[in-house]
Amino acid sequence: MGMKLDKKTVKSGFKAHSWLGLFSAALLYLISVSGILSVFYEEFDRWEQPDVPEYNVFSPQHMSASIEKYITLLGKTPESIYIVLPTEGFPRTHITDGIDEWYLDSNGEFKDVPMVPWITMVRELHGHLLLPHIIGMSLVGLMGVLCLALIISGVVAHPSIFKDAFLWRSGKKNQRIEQMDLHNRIGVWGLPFHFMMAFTGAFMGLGAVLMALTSLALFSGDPEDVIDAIYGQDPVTEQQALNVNFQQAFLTLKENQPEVTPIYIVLHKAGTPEQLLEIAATAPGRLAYSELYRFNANGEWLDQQGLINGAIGAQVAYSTYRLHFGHYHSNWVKLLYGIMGIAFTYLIVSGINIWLARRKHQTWVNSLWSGWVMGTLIAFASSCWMRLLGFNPEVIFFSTLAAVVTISIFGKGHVKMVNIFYMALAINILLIPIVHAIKFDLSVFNSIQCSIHIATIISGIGLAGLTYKKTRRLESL
Amino acid sequence: LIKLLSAILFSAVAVFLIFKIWGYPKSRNWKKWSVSSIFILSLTMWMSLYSWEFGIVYGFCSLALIAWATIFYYRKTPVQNPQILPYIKGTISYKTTLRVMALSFISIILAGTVSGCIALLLPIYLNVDMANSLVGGLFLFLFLWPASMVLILSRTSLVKLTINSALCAIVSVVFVYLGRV
Repeated sequence: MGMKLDKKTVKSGFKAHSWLGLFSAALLYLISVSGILSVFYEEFDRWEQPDVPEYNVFSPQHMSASIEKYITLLGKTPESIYIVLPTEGFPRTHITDGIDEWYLDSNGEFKDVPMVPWITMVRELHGHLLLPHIIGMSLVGLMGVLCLALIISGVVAHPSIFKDAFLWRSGKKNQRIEQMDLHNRIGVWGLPFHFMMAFTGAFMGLGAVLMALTSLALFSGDPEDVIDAIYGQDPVTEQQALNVNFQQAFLTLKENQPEVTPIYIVLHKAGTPEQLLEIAATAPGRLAYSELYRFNANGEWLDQQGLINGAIGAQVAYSTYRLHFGHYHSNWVKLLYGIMGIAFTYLIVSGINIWLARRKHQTWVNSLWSGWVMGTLIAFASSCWMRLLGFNPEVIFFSTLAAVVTISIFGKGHVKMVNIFYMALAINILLIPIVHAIKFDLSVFNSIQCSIHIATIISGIGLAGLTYKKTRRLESL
Repeated sequence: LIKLLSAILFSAVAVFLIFKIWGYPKSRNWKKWSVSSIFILSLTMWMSLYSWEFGIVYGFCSLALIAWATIFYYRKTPVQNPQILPYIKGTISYKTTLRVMALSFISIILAGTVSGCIALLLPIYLNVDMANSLVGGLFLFLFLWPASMVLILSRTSLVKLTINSALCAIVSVVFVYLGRV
């Protein structure tokens, strides 16, 4: 299928594609790699802190006592208290007010405080680039918009992209054509997925800013007005019993909505006559993060927020999170997202490589780009195993990245340098399971720990083998 | 598992048919309707097996994965000789840097302002449910902004574009203000 576009449009589309790519590639790459890791954040969370009790059901009869103890530990009653229930992907229960957090065992006893600085860093890097929240999130959202612009300009710039949907002139001799073909093929077949990622990412990243601007333009200036207009307001409850009947609320939910699966509860204004209990639950076959079912202190049904059956706008807006991170239906979806994410990351890297190869010469920009690409991967791997030794992952991440980029720019022998980086990456990946196995007792190991260890060992050995082969071939030339 | 395997099989058949109709190795009898039908059939199969929300994602992803595997299997060998690029000492051109900054500013800020104002008109002037019009407006903004960015970046006359964009922005702001009042 060849699109009928005149030469001028194609040329200008190509120009825009190049501009946008160069402008956004570095940050998009960082966001994309951290995004792939973030898809598996539940698994990494369990791997990073393996000695937390895991079980599938947390009985509502322990909730009152846990909340009481939580309030005692804090020394104050927070506005809202959350108990996040065990799920298939994350079979652990924790209690939090959004700031202070503890794990609970199946009897409601308080256990460890969550201590997962590496995966937290990865998620924060993906969400707001470790910058102040509003600035970082807006920047990440802007990258999503630039990614959408890259998709539009990419289609305009390549009129035969659909016609040549199966063409890949691969081989060892002409890397530019190989990369160009693969870039276009991955781009065109993965287009719906890439579009979805960019769109939902832009929506979530720019959400706060857009809501603030909308509230200024259409409401009183308070972003809460926009949230209320989309998702609806909380009901007002008065003159209730002070002890919440959690068991009754869960029974009522089971009677009214037998097909839903509760994922967390929120108790607003605990211990006051206005207290309100919300049970968030996922509905089968739906992408919406959850539906919120509301109950009074006696466990009597009040209403549901309408996130799965209300206004289409609210349903769509509330579905973006699961759609972006692949946290729905089954754990295999995460693997699917991981593979598609790797393809997306390859698009970013190959795009810049093609632009660099078109210049007919090499400069420090080539070294800078390869340093950034390899440095990011090495930094993630090294910060992961060094965090297990007690180092601050953020410091390790940024110092490793800076070191690799500097060495890449000022080091001699570009190709040799890249091979050294590959080997460094392989070693760092292999160190992850080794250090983890030394630090933690093997008795706490489960399928998650084993899967991550096997994946890192295979990728580390594979990468080392490939690098060795590549180096040998270079030496023989 | 049977459900999943049958859906994967259907996607594979879809890719195979597209591949045969589309053009490897010789035939180029590209027929829009046939490929579109196969695509739609494959997606419908996924949507009927799972819910439409999950099915559409699975359908597109499975088509992509199977197509990539096909491409990998049928890759062609290169026709040109390798080219070793010479290393030269690169410098930063201030002219280029300024041009990049100007383009970035115009394409991001101005395109964003114009798109934002147009998107705001939707909840102001469209008399529908607030949640729908607000989310619709946000979505419209996320379509308009990148599209206008591409439009700006693909045009060469920067001055003309700047003036036009600024005028559009002013007009849109006035409309939003009037709508609010």
